[in-house]
Amino acid sequence: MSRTAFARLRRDLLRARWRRTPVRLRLALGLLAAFAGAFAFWQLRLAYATVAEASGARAAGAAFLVTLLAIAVAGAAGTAVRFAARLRGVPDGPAWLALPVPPSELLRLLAWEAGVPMRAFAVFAAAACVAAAGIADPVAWVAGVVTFPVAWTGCRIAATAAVRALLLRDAVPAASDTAGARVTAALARRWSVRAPGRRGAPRRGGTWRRMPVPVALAWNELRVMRRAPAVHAVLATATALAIASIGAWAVPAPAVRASAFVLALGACAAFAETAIVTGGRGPFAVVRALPVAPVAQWLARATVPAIAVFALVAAHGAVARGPAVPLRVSLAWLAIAGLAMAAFASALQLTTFPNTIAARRVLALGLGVAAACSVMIPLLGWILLLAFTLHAVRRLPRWWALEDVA
Amino acid sequence: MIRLAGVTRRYGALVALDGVSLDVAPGAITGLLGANGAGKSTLMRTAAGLQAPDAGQVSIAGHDLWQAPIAARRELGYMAEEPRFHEELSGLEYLSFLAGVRGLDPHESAREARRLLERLGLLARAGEPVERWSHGMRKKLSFVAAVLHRPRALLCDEALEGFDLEASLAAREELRALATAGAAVLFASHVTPVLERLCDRIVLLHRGRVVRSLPRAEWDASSPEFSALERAFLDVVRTHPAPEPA
Repeated sequence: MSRTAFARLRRDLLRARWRRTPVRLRLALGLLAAFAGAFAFWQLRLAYATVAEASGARAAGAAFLVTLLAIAVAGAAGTAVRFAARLRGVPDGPAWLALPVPPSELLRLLAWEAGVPMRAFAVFAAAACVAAAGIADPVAWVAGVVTFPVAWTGCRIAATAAVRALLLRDAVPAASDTAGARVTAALARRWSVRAPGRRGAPRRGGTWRRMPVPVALAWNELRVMRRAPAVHAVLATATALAIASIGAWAVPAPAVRASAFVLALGACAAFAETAIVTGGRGPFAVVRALPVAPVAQWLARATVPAIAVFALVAAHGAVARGPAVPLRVSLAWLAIAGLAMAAFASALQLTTFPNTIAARRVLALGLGVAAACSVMIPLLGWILLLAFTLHAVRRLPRWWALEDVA
Repeated sequence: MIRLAGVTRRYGALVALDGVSLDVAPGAITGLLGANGAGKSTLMRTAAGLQAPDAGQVSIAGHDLWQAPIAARRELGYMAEEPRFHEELSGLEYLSFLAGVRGLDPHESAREARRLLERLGLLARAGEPVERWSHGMRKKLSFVAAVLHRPRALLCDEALEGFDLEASLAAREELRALATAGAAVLFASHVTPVLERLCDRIVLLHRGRVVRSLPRAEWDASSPEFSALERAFLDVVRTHPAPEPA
């Protein structure tokens, strides 16, 4: 009974999400997926051909199988991370624990929810299959194509089971010692609402100071950023990448040093993402009813990541070693790219508000495409990034006309 | 003054607002009464600029909401039916943010915020993060946020729902004071006793249309079974039955 209802719910959710995705966004996502697939095909085809040339078709077949396994593992890891996040906070939907629902079904639904975006990895799997065709050993190729769905499902089940096991490990003693009751008790403990007004609650009186509107907005962004756990995760990634990029200059190997800029670009992207996540915390009805121009909001939102970019560039300038002119050019590129990412993310956040998920996906895809283009044709990625930014900023005046998104 | 002229709003095939024209006069509290699904919240959201109308115009204190969005919003206070906040911020932080963005005098707005919070019985908890607050407390904070800047036009969607008696009385007094000071207040609810006590005029909205407008004199006389307003509302609902499903 429950199983049928949950299966129907999953189907209905998929349909509803598909229906609410605007046609233009579907087209854009399709194009980006096609582009990413083509890029992956090109890179993998070259790699398999190189392996086949050097070590034969069987080695290329092995490389193909390893690629598919890596894709399955990456998808499962992504699912596990998202599944664990869903178990940490109260998930969307009704008050699940008040429903007569077997916890196994509920966990299956949450795991499914966590795994849906990971299906995008199918693009890379398909690209790998096409890239290996005619190069890899036919037996390995057929085996890979046939067994990939099994490997994908197996990895996903193993990863979610591991997360479930972790959840059960910290379960509180339940009235009944059946597995279902223990899971329910563990979920109840994780999702329970904290008691209001408990002792030691922070007391914060606000900042009653006159300040320009963008400053007031940016100040609020900083405050939200400091407290929202969702922002902390992105900020931690950005900080880790930034530290790694600065630390890379201490390593004598030139290749590692070159990676300093790549890591720094990653840090800039993560800093830009914080603008989306922080802005997404804003209450729609409040933000839309404020007498604030979208440009002021855009500037305010981009301010914090822009400051982070400047700090990162300054840190690189302080520790970087090498010929002065190329170094300055690289630092200038880094600053321009970082600022463009901040501006792009901030504009995306505003024009898609409050659909934070869509903004994050478009940012990731846009930056991914720009990076891929940079690998293919030097400078093309930069041009694309600036074009994306200009396009997103040009849409800002339409902010007032956003419809029915709350 | 809040003015809606021929406002139409559709959700697919459903016409939520069908050419609604409505003037909310300054210095008075106008009630908006309608059954569930009559279009009250759509009207309030459209008047607040949260969604654009498919046709028609909305103006707030003489400013067209879509031609001069910032000027219009400067004069507007809006209290949503289901208020949402930056959950991580305390009530005072949230209000100080709004005061900063609206360019209010910091000392005066801080004093006013504390006064309003105290009147609604919220001051003791105002320094705590909103995520720990109950539904009623959130509604009260939303009320304070909507009136903090003494707006010339105020939209309240089911504003007093969730308020305890003392806070409800205080909020009604604040609304009356605002109206007396010249604000145009539009108060949407489906609870007739609240509207009867609070409003100077009540507009009946039914299936997306304004079907009647009653001045206070028309509902002051009450019968034991139904108040005059309830009778008028039931007349409207019963004389415009819902169409049979296709």
